[in-house]
Amino acid sequence: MTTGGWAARYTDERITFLEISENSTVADAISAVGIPASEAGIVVLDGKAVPKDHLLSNGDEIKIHPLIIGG
Amino acid sequence: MAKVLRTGNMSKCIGCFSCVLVCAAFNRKSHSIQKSCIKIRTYGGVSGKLVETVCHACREPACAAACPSNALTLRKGGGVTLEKDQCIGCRRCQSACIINAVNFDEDLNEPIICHHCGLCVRYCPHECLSVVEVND
Amino acid sequence: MIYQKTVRVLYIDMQAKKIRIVEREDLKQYIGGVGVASILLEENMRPELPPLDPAQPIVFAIGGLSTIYPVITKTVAMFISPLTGELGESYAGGRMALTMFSAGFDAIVIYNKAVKPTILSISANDVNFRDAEPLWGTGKDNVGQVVRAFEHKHSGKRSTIRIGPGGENQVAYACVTVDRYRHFGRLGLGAVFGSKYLKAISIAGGRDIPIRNFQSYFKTYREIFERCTKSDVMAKYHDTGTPINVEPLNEAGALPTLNMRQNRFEHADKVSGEAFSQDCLVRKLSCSGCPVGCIHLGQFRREFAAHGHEYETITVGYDYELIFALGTFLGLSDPKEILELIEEVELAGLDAMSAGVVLGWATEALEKGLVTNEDTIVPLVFGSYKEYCAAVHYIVSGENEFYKNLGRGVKYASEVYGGQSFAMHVSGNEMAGYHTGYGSLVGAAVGARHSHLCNGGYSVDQGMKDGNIDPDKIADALLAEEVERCMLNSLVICLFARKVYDRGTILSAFAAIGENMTDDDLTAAARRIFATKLRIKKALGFRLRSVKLPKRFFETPSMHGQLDEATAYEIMAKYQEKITALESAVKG
Repeated sequence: MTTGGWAARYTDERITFLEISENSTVADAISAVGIPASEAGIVVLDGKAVPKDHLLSNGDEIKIHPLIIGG
Repeated sequence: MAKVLRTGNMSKCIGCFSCVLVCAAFNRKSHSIQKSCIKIRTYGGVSGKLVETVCHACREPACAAACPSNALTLRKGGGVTLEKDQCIGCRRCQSACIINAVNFDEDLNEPIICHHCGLCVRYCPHECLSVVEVND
Repeated sequence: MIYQKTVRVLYIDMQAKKIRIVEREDLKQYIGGVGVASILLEENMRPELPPLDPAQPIVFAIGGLSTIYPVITKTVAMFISPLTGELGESYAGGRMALTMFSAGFDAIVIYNKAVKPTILSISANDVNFRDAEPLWGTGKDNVGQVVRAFEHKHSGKRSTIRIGPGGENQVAYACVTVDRYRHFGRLGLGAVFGSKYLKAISIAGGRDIPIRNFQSYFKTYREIFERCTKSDVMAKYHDTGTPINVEPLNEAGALPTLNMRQNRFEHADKVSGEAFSQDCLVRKLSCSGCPVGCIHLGQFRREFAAHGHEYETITVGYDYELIFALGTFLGLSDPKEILELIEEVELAGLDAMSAGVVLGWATEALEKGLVTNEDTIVPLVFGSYKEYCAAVHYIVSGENEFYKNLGRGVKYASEVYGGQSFAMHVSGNEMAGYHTGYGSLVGAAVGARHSHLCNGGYSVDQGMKDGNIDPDKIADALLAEEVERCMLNSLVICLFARKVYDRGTILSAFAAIGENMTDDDLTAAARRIFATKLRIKKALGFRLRSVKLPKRFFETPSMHGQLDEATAYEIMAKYQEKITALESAVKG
């Protein structure tokens, strides 16, 4: 997965290859990388936003965006 | 060994005033930035640099030399300590310091003297300030 | 003031050059900030007169916990908005709260018009009315420099609040700049300053305010300070800052682009937060009393003569809203061009968000032949920043009839020339950079000051799943957040710290300075303040049921797909029922 520089606080890697167990969700992948659930925003898979409980398949490439912030 | 304040990294200063606020709060029990030892101001407006003014712990402090009543005694490591009973509030110490590091407390009629406690260092979010050890 | 039973109000008559100081015990129940300012606005405003009439007041207020804890840094300004004709409410950081606090004033009410351009110089012991004639109409931004010279003894403890030529010429969305990089941006406070010949205000502190209960105060201060600096909660505002929003909003299909014809920008990656950080970011600053440092300054080099390699360097603050309004909304994909346009708007003294939206409409109006090349003087085309820079000047000068109309806001301009369906405002206030769903759209309509900050509508949308639209729940969520923010804005925290300042922390903060509030006290104050704002809006003629939302909001899809008009109005109707109930409850 790619995260972009915003997650530098949590992980050194911008692009990470993850080995996770079967029936892992997007949320599992996020926590496997070390990003707190409260900091992760939209996750994109194949150009579409997916919910955090979406089940991942082998070879899936996801991009994790930060939360939208503001006042 | 004694401690003195050093202010070498001001390029990282964001102008948050935390150092000023905690100094006034802790050392003079005041919410007022007037009561702080350390001052932060801009040099040519906010778009210019941020500069600090605080005691540099002189080994031969001009403030002590100017004091007519011996109210400022030499401190280990540099700088001075105020003997409140001896102070007459003449403000010669304030004029003597060429970097303007001596503030004056109008309410108590005495100078505000930095004793290098290092609290400002602790509350700087960007490590602009530091405390170093020097010979007595 | 803190530790006092009263709120200290400074009244300034600009015409007579006289002041009055009144200690108001009755205002304590409104805590401070927006609570106090609302009552003062209600007391002093003249609903029967136009917004820019000299008799109208400008009210500033700091809050119940201002400056004594981290990130409680804001000052609120309340006025009648010349842009919308009703409630004007705007917030700014910088050093204003700190200097008002140490000058000893909780609130300032300014009324009447000065005889000639004036700089107000306020300190703990004096109020001076200084001649600003040499600075009026020059288009220069050296007010700060002039104030520094005549207020030399207040070096390091002064705040400078000023208008630019936009405010002098009473453009309806002229802003007020605070300490160079912060603003009272929205709703046209700058024009109100201009209508009073008020060029600038300088405030300097000086009073001693002894701490009453040092042990408990400092312990609480330290705890809050650590949460602001050591935890993750505030870090993102410092790292890349709000510009981080560009990519997620683009990905989500919520990024208003090309006058909101599109909800994505094909060049979003070129103007993302990271692109700005890598290409242009040179410095970070903070407001006084905030250890986070969210002000991001970008720099660009500009050639000011055609030959001879003559360059100048410009440093300008940028945030997400500016990258949207003066970037994606206008089809600009080069960060340096966006910075240059931001700088033009900054020098003009206009609200960046309104300026961008207005220019977006003008571009499309020209394209569709609703206005002519003669009207726009320069050909406004998406992606062409030089023409936009020129247009900003024309808005400020009111160069011709078209630009005079443009200077009254996009709602007004579209009523004159047509193109209302793509004039992207909500109830007269130009839109913010989020097309996330019903939350952001209805939130702006029902928000007391029609701002995305009233109720954080985009957050409501972010928390929703697709296809699950419950109008009642949305209305509830927006109302609850707006009422809560009435309390937060009475303290006056910077809203970036709203996760730090939960109810428990706020109560501890009060307790540590000897004010024993309860959770119920905070709720009651919030509702009381909200009810005051509703009364003001009603007195100024606002009716929620009369709000018509421009059609394009329902044509361009949002983050949650295409929005349905009937549903939006249904949520608004439900909201109206709820506020009617709240009003009766507060009265009774």
